[in-house]
Amino acid sequence: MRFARYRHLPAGSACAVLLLTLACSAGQGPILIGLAGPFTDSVGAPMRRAAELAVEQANRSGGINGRRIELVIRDDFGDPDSAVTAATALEAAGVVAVIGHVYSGTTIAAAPVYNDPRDPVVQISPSSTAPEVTGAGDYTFRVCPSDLQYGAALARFAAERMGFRHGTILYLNDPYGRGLRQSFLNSFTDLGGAIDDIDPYLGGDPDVSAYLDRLSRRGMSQFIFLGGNYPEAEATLRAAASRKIRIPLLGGDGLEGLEKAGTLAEGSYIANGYLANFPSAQNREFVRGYADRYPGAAPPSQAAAATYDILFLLRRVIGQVGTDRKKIRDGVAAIGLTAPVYDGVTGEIAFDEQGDVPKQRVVIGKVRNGQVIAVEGQ
Amino acid sequence: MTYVSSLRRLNGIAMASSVLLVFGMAALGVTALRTVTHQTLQDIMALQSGSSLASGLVGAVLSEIRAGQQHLLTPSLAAKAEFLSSGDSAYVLQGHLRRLPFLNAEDRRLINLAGATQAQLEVAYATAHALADIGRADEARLIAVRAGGTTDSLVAVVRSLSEEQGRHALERAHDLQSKAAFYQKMLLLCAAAALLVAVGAGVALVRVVDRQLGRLIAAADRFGAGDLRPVQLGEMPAELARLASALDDMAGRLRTVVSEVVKEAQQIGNSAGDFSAMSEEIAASSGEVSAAMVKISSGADHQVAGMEAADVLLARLRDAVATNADGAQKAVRLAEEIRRTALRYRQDVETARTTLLDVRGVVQTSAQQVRALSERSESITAFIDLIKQISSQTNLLALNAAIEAARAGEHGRGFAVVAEEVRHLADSSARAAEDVTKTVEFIRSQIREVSETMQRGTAKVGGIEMIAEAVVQGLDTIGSAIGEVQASAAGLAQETEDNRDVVGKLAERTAQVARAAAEHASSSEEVSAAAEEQSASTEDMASSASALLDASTRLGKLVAGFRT
Repeated sequence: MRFARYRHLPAGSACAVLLLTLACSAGQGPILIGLAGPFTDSVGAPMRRAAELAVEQANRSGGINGRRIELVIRDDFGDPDSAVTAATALEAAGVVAVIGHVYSGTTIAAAPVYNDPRDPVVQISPSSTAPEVTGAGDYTFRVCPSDLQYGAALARFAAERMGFRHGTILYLNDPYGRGLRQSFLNSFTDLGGAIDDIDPYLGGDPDVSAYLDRLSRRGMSQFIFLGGNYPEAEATLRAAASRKIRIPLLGGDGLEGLEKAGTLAEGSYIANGYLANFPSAQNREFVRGYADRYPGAAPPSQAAAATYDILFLLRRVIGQVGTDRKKIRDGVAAIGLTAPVYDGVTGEIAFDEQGDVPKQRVVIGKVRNGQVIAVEGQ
Repeated sequence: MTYVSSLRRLNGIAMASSVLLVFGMAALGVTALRTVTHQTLQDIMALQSGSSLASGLVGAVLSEIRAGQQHLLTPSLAAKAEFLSSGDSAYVLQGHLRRLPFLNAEDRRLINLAGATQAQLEVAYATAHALADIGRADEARLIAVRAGGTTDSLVAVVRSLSEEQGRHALERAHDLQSKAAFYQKMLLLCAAAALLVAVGAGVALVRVVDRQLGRLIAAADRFGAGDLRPVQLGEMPAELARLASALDDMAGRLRTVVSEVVKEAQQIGNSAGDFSAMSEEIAASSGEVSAAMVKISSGADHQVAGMEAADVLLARLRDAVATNADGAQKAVRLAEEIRRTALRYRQDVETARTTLLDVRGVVQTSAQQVRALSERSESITAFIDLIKQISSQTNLLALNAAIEAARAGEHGRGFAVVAEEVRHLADSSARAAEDVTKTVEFIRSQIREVSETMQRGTAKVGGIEMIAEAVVQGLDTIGSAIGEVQASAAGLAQETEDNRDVVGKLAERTAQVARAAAEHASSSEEVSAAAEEQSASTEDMASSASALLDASTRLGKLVAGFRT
């Protein structure tokens, strides 16, 4: 690869000159941080609120070494193609780091853009849990547990805590759903459980009626494991209710927000990396600030809390290493390895060699009275 | 390029830049070759893995569809498991495809589309399976048939992905081509630059050498034409500056030598002029001596005749004594006359002797001057030796310069010409020195001859002196004898009668005087002959002096050609 480097020499020097001019002009200007997610939907909106709150708070306390932080926000509409477009736009805007994307599918689709060896930029996802995110590139990180952790935690909960022996898996047919499906399937069967059926569905308005009809007919399953997001979970619960299926629904962080679905959702189990009622001092402060800033909004989601953590984590790193993209990446990668862990509202963030946070815990909560309450004795 | 400190350095710089450019060309060529090879290899690998991934994807999707169909017809756990695993491996392949290098937005869209289409297909089959499981086979078949269209579109997507890869290959090939063309252009540019530098340096070198050599040649020409005044050559490269300073040095030494020679030539000319004048004076003096001798000789003849007359008179007196007392008175008067004549002759002889003494003094002075001249000519020889030495050194220098020029090769050709010219100059100065040597040798031989002639002349003048002294003594003797004759005649007047013997003695004495006078006359003739001989020698000397004058004039003309 020695000579491959020279191929980009003219382009590289041009870039260097451009960067130099940018760096010079940016000396007094704000530091740009990208934010990419589906801000028009109910998952992305809290993330944006948390990011803007964090930037406001950070700039009030001096920004980064006296320079203001400015968000460059690009909507990816939760769609892989749009994610690539958004990523390209952020790269071109000269951001020094990107917070995003939210879904595993969009994160994986955009990762090659951020990892482009010509001019890579660090990408930290708050909520992409798919196993494929691991190894998507040296510049791709996440601060949430992976689906392997979610699947294993839920399988243990179902098999050991609840004593379930049979279950049905419904999954959103995207990387997130498939990853969660596979990790739950492996862990649950390892623990001696049996899966009666594994069925995919498509996002948006899923048609799971045929699957539920079969489930109803067989009557073996003690629970439905849903690897997907809460709108699909709500639709599934509605369809199940119409068939008088009264077994609990289990799911990962994608089900966050299901608790607002009313009585349908009551008794469902949701695993998450974060709950708004975490008792830590940082979290209480964050939740209070969020509520003050956005009165009437729902308590912050996992993606929102993780976004808040990522922004302050980036603030620390950039404050130490400056605005060079490569140095920022190295500074982020060092956290938990050679640099101290970051103690955030979602817990302690410490990256492993793959850019994952294996120490982030998974908490399982039960929907009760429109709230997710952590199950006792985890 | 206003000033170059050293030709070797200029040449070195030019060579170094050329070599550097050529080395750059080689490096560029190697880099280009490696880059293009590496990129080609990378592209081929990417294409290979892309096509193998695409075909693997097609295979996985097809086996998934097959398993889905099979499960639809005869539900089995194995078919269901294969349906799931094939689907999963298809997704894995899509992940690999996504990580391929050189993907554009369209590629990514196609990969995403393939994943989405596959997901739709899987959902369709899963739904169909579920419907079949609960006995709604017709609905299941309907969904399966509809899934066929999705299958087609998935295959179409994968195919267009392959086509996209093919287009990429083409684009990459074009890219490679343009890159190769770019490198070619760069190489050509480099080559042109190297050529330009080499040619420019060559021309500059030649111009620098030519200009400086032109100045050197002009200076050498000037020296060759005899203008030895110092030349302002200005700054020039170290190699030529050495030559210039040697040339300047040579001119300086020649200048000194020529001015010395001119001075000497003037001195020789002056001496020769003096010498010539002296010779003429000597010649004149010799003429006077000769005239005086002739006079002496004729006086002696007169004396002899007088003596003979005296003898006759004495004989008559002897007769008259006996007879006539008045004869004594006559004898006294006669003796008085003889005494006056002798005194006059003595004065003449005295004058001749003084003239001879003057001649001797002049000859001695001339001899001294000729000796001085001889010594001067020796110092001229020493200067000429110096000239010879310089010219041989210059010759050696020119030879060295010619060797240096030969080593410089093509660039030193003009320089070689200068070296040759300088050598010619050295040769001609050596020849001139040889000429001067010969001339000086000639002058010296002439001086030797003159010197010998003068010594001879001095010796002869000494002889004349001795003769003159003898004449004076003889005349003195005559004078005293006459005195005695007078006394005797006076006594005779009284004692004629008393002493006849005295008259006899007188007669005897007269005979003696007559002999002395005859001797005197022959001596005078001898002196005259010697004076004539001296005159001839003096003429020789005069002609030698004029030859010396001529030589000094020639020498003066020879050195007058040089401007110092």
